[in-house]
Amino acid sequence: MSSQEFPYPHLAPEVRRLSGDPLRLWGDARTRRLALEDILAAWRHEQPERLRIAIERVETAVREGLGQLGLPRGPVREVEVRRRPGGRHAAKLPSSVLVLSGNYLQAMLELRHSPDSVLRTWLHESLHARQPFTGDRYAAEAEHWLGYEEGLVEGLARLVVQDKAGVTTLDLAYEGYVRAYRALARVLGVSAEQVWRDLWQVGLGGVRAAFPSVVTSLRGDETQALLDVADQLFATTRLAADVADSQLERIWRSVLP
Amino acid sequence: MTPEQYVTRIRELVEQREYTAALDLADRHGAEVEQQLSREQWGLLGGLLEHAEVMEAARESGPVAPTPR
Repeated sequence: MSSQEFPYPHLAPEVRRLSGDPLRLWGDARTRRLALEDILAAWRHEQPERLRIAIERVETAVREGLGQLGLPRGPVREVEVRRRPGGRHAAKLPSSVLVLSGNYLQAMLELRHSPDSVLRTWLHESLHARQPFTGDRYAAEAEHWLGYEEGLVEGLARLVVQDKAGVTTLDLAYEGYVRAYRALARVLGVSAEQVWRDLWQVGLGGVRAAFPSVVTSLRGDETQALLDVADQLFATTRLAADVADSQLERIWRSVLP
Repeated sequence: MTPEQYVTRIRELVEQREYTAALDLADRHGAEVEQQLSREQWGLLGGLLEHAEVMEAARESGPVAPTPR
C-alpha cells in the first residue's frame, strides 16, 4: 500500500476518513501553519473577508475532525479573532461565539513556534461547545469547581492532537486538572479517554453532578467521599496547584481503595 | 509591572471573583508583559483569564444558580 493511497499514516483511522482540505490540515504540519499564518495576517492587516475565509478553512477541518472522532460540536455562531493581550488565549462564550486571541495566535506562531498549540486551543474551545451554553448552570459549577469541565475538555483536546493526529503541542493550561483525571483513570483501571468521553456526554455545567454516576459506572459503587475528593482536586482555587502524580493517586485511592 | 506582579494580581482578582477587574488589567498591562511571560505563567494566565471572561459573560447572560450539593 503506498503513502499516496493512504496518506498521513500517523493519523488515527477515524481522522483518515476525512478528505480534501480538512484531511490535509489534520495531516500536514506545514499546511496547518500556513493556514494559521493566513488568519494572523488577515487579522493584522484588518482584512475582514480574507479573515472570514481563512477562519472558515480551519473551522471546517476542526468541525469535521471532531465529527469523525465521535465528538461532534454543537452550535457555534461565529469564530472571531480579537485583540486579547496578556495571556487571554481563547474562550467559548455564552453567546455561542468562539473567541480566539490574535495576540495568542501571534505568540504561538512567532514567539513560541508552536502553531499546533493553536489547533489544540481551537479543539479545546470546540469541545466546550458540545451543547448550547446555559450560563447559570455553567457558572454554578465553574465558580467553585472549574476543573471538572476544563480538565475534561483540555484532556480530550490533548488526546485528540497527540494520540489521534500525532501532533506535539505546548501543554499550557489546566495541567493540574488533566493530571487529576489521568490519575483517576489509572486507579480505576480504565483509559483516561474512556473517562473523558463518558463525561463529555454531559452538558456544560453538568459534569460535577454526573461525576459520581459516571465513575460508578466505570467502577461499581457510589460514595459522597468520592465527590468530596473530586471537589478538592477540581477546585477553582487549585488552578495553579502543582501536586505530584503519586500524591494525586494517593488522594484518589483514599476513596477508591 | 513585572510579569510576576501581573500574574499574581490577575490570580488574586480571579480568586476574589473580580472578573471584570482582571480582564481590565489584562487589557491595560497585558501587552507590556506578554513577551516576558514564562511558559508556566502563560499557561496559568490562559486558564485564569478564560475563566474570568466566561464567568463575566455568564453573569451578564443570567443569574448564577445556587451551588449544587
